[in-house]
Amino acid sequence: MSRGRLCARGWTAHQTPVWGERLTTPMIRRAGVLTAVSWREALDHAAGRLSELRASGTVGVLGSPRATNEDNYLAVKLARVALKTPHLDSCQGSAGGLLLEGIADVTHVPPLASFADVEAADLVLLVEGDLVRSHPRAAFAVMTAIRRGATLVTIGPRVTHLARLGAVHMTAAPGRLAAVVNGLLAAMMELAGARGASLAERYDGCDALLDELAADSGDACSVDIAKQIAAAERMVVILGAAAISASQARAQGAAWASLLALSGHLDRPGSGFVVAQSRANALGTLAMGMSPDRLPGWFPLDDRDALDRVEATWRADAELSEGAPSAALIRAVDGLIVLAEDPETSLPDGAAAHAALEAAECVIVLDAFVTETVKLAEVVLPIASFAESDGTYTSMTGRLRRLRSAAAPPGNARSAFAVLGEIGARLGSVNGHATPADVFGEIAAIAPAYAGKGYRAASDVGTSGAADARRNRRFRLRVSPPDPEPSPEWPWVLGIDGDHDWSRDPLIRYSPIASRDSVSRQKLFPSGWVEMSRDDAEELGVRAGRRVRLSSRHGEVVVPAQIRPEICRHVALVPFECREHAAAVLGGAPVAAVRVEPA
Amino acid sequence: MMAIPCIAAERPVEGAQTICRANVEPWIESLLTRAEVIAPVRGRGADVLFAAISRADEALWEFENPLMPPKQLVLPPTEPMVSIRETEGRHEVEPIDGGRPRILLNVRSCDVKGIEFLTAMHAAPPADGAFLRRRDALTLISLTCLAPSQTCFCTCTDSGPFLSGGYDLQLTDLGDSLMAEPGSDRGRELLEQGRGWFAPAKPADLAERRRRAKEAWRSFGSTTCHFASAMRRVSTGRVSGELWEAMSDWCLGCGGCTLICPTCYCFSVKDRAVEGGWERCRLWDSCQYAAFTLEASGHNPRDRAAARMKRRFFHKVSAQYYVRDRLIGCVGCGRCMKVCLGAADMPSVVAAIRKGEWHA
Repeated sequence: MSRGRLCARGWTAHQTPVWGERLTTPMIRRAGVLTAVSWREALDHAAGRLSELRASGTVGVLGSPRATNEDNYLAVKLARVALKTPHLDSCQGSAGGLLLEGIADVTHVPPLASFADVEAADLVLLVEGDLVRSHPRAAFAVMTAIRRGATLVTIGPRVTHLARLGAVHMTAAPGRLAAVVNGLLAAMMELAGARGASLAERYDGCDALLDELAADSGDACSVDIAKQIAAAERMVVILGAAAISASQARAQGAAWASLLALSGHLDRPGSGFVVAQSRANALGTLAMGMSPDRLPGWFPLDDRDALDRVEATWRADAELSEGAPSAALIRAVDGLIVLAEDPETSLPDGAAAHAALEAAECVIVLDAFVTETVKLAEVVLPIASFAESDGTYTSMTGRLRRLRSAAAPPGNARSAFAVLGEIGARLGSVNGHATPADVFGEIAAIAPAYAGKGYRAASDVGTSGAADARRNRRFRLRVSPPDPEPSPEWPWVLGIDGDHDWSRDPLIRYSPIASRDSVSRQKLFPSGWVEMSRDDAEELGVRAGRRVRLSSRHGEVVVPAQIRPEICRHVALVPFECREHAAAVLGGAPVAAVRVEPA
Repeated sequence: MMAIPCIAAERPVEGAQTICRANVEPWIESLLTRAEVIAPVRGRGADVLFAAISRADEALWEFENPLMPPKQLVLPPTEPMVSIRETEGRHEVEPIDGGRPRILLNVRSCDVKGIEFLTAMHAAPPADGAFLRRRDALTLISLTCLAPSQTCFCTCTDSGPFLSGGYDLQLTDLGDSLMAEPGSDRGRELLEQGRGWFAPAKPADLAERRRRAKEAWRSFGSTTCHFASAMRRVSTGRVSGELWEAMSDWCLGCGGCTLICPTCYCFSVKDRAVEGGWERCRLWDSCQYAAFTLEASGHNPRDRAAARMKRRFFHKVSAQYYVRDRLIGCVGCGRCMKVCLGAADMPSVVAAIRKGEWHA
C-alpha cells in the first residue's frame, strides 16, 4: 500500500520496539507493587480473577487498533464465548465506527475507496482535520490526484496544507459540518430536480428530505460544488478527524452517504469513502467485531446469516447481545482485559477513563510497552510489539495487510495470540489455535470478505463482504440535525482538533526522533494551549504565548494562546493532546460555544 | 550540466583482469572465509536489500538497486559510540569500536560515490574516528550498471554508470566472464589472492568493456538534470523565497529522502540504558523534521518547511563541496524519487531551481 513511501511515523517506527520502555516479564500487583512472577502464575491468577468477577459482577474486554486482526478476533471470542460478556469495544472504534454506521445506514455496506481510487479521482472532497499531519500517506494520494488534474475541495476550520493546494476551501467551524453537508445536499436536490421522479422511485425518503431541506437552499459555493460533484466521473470523499470526532457522527456519515447516493456516485467504480481513522488497525478492530453492537465481519448483531455462521464456527454458547461502548464500558465493569490500549490516551475524556480504571476491581493488561494503564493494572502480561508479531491488519481503505515478525519478543514476552489463547483455555471454553493463520481461517469462515483472500496476499476486504447486498436496496436518505449556534453571549466556537493523542501513543512516545516535537511542545506549554487566528488575537490584544480566558456555560479555563494564521475567525481549537486542559469549558462535548478574553 | 560521457570511465584502468563465470562462485566462497560479505540479496517478499551472505549463490548479479543504500555499513541507524559506566561515583567512558572487516560486493557505482562523499565529510577535520574505523574496515567491490533503472540519473552527477575510482575492485559483466579493475592497493591484493581464478584481460575483453560502457551511457538517453545550472543559482543566492515556499507545499516532511539518501548523514545523540550504565548512541535523524533545529529556548531557526527544504538543497546542490572535494552532494541514484511522499525529489527541485519556477 505504501509502495515504499512512508511517513515520518513509518520511517522512525523501528526505533519504538528498540528504545521503548518494554514489558519483558509477567507481573502481579502485590501489596500495591507490581511484582515479577512466572507465566503460569500470572495466567492462573488472571483466569482465576476473571472467573470470580464473571460470577459476581461484570467483566469487559478492550481491543486495540495497535493489535492484529487475529489478536482482536481472539479477544472478541474471549469476551463473547469465554467470559459471556457483551461488553467489548475499542477506544477509538466508537467514533470511527459511528461514522461508518451512518454511511451503512444509507448504503448498507460502506463503499470504501482505495488510495488508487483517490489518486485517479477527478473530484476529492476532504473533510479535514489536517490530513497532512494525521495521515500523510493519504495526503500524498490527494496530492497525486491534484497533480493529475483533480479538483480538491477542502472543508474545515483551517486553511490547511492541502487546502492551500486545493481549488476550493469551505470554511466550517467545529460543529458546523452539518451546515456544510446540508447545503451540499440541498444544492444537489435542486440539481436533481429535473430527474426527481427517477430519484423518488429509487430512494425512500426523498420527499421527506426535500421538506427537511426546504429551509436550507444551497449557497452559491454549494451550488457550484454540487455541479462539480454531478459532473465528476469519480469522486472520493475523505472524512478526516473533524468528521470522525463530530457530535452526531452517525448522522454525519448518513448525510455524506446520501450525497454520494443522490449524485449517482454510489456503486460507481472509483467513487467512495475514505474514513481516515487514526492508528494502524482501526478498521480491522471494527471488522473483527471488537464492538459492543457488531459481529465479526462487522455484521449487525441481528444479521441472521452472520449469526448462523458465527454459531456454526464457534460451536459454543456465546453472549450475542449489545453491550456498552468503550467510555461507558470501563465505568460499568468490575474486571477488565485491556489488549494493547491506553484508554486515558485514546478516549475523549481521558481523566474519566483514568478514574474508571482506578476504580475497577481488576485490570488485566496485555501490552508490549509501559503505559498509564499498565501502572493501574493488577496483572501485566508482556506481549510482542508490532515488530515481533505475525498476523494481518486491515488498512483504513479496507485492504488486508500481512504483518511478519522481524525479531523475537524481548525477555519473557510472548505473542498476544499465545497469551489470549492461554487465558481462553483456562476459562475453559475457547478452542486453541496453533498459529495466527488458523485464526485467520476462522475469521474467513465468519466474514466472507476475508475468505479466499489467502493469508499472504494484500487484498480488498472492506468492512464486510456482501457487496451485492446493496443491490435492489431502497436507500433511506438522511440529513444531519442542525448544529447549535453561537450566541451573542458565547460568540466563539471552541473545538477539539484531531482524534488521537499521538504524543502519548507508544509508537511516537518511545521513538527518540519522532517524540521530539511533542516533548518540546509539552515542555513549552505544560498546561496546554489554544489556537486562534491572527486577526482574532490582534482584536483581543493577545500575543503568542500569552494567556486567554475561555468561558462557556459549563465553566472557564485560562490557557496560553498560539496564533495560527490559517484558522477561521472566532474559532478556538484545542489539540486533542491538550483536551484535558479545556475539559471544564467543553463539558464533555467535542464542541462548545465560548467567550474568549485576555487573561 | 548535460550528460557528458565520462571518458575516464570508458577506459579500463591499469591491471584489469577477467574471471570466467564458473570461477565467480569459488572466488566469492574464498572471500567468505576471509571476511563478512555483504551483498544485494532477495529478502522475504520481493525486496532487494543489502545483507550478509553465507553462500556465494545468495548474492544477486542482476537486480534493481536496493531502496536502502549501504550507508548503514559506515553509519548504522543506531550506532553505540561510547559506553559509560558508573562505579563508586566515578564515570568510566570507553569508546565502542564498531569496525570489523567487511566486504561490500556488487555495490553500484552511485553508492560507491555516496560512500566516497561520506568519507570526505567525516575525514575533514575534526575527523570522525568512529566513522573512519568502519570505513577503513570496508572493502568495496562494485558492479557497473549496464542499463539504468527508471529513476537513475547518475550520468548527471558524475557518479556512474562506470567509475574511474573510489572502489577497491570494479566488476563489469562481459557475458561469459567478469572484468575486474583494481582501484586501490586493497583491490590489487584481492586480485593477487584470487590468482588461480583471474587472468589478465585480453585486448578483446578490454574492447568489449569499452563497448559496454558506451552502450550503458547511451542507454540513459538524453537524461539531463542541469545540475551545473542549478548549482550556480543556489550558490549565488538566486533562488527566491517564494520558490522555496511553493516547493515546500509539495513536501510532507516525512524525512524519507534524507534517510535513504546515500550522502545524508544528519544525526542525533541519545543515551540508551544498558546493564550497569549507558551507551551513547548516534541515531539517524533528518534535517526535514521540524524539531531537528529546535533550540532549548523554544526558538527554531528553521520552523518553516520552506526553510528546512532550502537548507537541504543548499547542502546538496551548492558548489561548496564541488569546490573543496570535486564531489556533488547527490549521486543520482533516484531513491528520493521512489520514496518522496510529495513531489519534492532531487530532479524536480533541480529543474525548478534552474527554471526559477515550480510546476508540481
